[in-house]
Amino acid sequence: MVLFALLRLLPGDPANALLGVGATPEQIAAARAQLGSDQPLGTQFINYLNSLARFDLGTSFVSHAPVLDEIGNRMAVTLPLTLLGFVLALVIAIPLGVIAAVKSQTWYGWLISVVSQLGIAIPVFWLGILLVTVFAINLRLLPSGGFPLRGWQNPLEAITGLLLPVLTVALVIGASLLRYVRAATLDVIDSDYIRTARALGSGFTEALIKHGIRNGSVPIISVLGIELASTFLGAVVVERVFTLPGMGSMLLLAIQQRDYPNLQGVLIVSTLLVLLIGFAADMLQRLIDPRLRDRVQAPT
Amino acid sequence: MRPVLDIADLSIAANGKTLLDKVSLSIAPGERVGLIGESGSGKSLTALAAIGLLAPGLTATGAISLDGQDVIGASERSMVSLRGNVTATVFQEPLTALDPLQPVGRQIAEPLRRRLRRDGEAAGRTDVAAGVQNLLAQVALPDPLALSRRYPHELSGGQRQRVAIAMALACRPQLLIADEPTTALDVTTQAEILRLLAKLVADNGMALLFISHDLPVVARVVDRVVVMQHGVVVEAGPVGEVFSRPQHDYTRSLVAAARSFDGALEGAA
Repeated sequence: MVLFALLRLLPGDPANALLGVGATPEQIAAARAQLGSDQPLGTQFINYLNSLARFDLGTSFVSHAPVLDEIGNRMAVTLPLTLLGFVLALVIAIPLGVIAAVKSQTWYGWLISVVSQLGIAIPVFWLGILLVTVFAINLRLLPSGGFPLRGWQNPLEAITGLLLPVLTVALVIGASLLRYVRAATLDVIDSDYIRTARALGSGFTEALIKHGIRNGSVPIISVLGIELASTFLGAVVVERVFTLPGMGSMLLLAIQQRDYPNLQGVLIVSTLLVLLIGFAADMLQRLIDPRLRDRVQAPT
Repeated sequence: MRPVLDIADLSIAANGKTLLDKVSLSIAPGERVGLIGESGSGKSLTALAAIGLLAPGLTATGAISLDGQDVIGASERSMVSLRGNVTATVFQEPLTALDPLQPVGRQIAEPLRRRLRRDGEAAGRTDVAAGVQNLLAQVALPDPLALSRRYPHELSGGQRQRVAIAMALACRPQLLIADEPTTALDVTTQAEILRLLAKLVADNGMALLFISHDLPVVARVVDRVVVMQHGVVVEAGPVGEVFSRPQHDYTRSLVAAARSFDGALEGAA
């Protein structure tokens, strides 16, 4: 509802945008009737809710293709980009973050922290352009952007197209995750339960594995949920840099063309995904931490 | 007889600031020693140094030996074999000292399994489970089977401290270090935990290093006291002697405070 109202408040008429500057008033009126944008907003809204309840996000004002199909096509790019980037970010951040914490007194522990700090400071688009310059222009190893028209029918081509974008996402998200992993590990190392375990004869590494992983993962998981959601939303910028036909570019295009059905579709699906991720992170935390489980049952 | 713990001229410094100055302390097998002093006097620091768990950044000089083995400068590897073997420690705050995400039975099982393997005893699942039940019964916790499945936050402060004691007991140490084990508890629970500790130490023939700021508490469980102030040992001797003829001003004020507290209690009764 909020989405619907906000979008209709945007200046500009979809019929205008569709037909361009030279269109006659008659043409515009005809286009409006066809799109349904000449009807009162209330009617438009009720029609919209009706179709939403049937999982029908409508058809695009511009291409007249079903919105859901278009989103499906775009997801085939954005989902792999987000998930691969995120997994790679985890692979980078978790071991390095733990090392940075455990070896915080050494020069390389310090170096990891400094580099990750730099990684946070770098804007996504700048890093993307940097990677393109190095790998696509100087070394000519990978394409600078784009995605095969036939999508995943040629998996190798699709994957090479995604390599640089995935790396960009992974480095940016990885750098900020690393900070959280490091902080959580430092907390664990300083904790009383690790001291207890060691005082009763457990080795440091053994204590970290037996008690640290679970305890450290609770704060990390809530951050992971947020980071995964922001990776997904941040794909807008990365897709722009690498000219990928994903959800992000669909969003930008829909805004330019005042393609309300497409725009609403993208926003609704994105919102649902973000909510879903948050919910999953919450459930996972409850699974690990009995104190969170009990909070639900307590009548406070 | 060789002392279990022998500390000689132990000094600890952090960034050039002296926290502990030439502290000496020796505990014979089976002996019960109290370490008394206000917070910040260096009691807990002494205990942590004794088991080689000083925070990084603190440097210790002097000599510490556990069961004849040097602690200062010892490798982490050799310290791991001393901790949980020669000593076991019970800390002040049982809520944070236990892992919040593990049922307490599993937390007791961990040091128990280690000790069983060390002693070459059977350490299968049923052996360990039986041992955990036995330990929970020894620390007088009711319904051990149900209790072992519960998490620390589901227990009372006194129950948590009993669990922590059971974990230390699982190690069958020569020396039990109790670092303010009753400070976080209410008075009634304090008395119960003290009785329990005294009984367990006597039953198992362990030596005890009991750390507290509370003189009357210490007096009930130890034979000998060492009084610390500002990182220095100011007085040491048998409990009765130190109580009846305190030499140092600080000890005198502690004894006076304890007497007036007792007096107030008796007056109220």
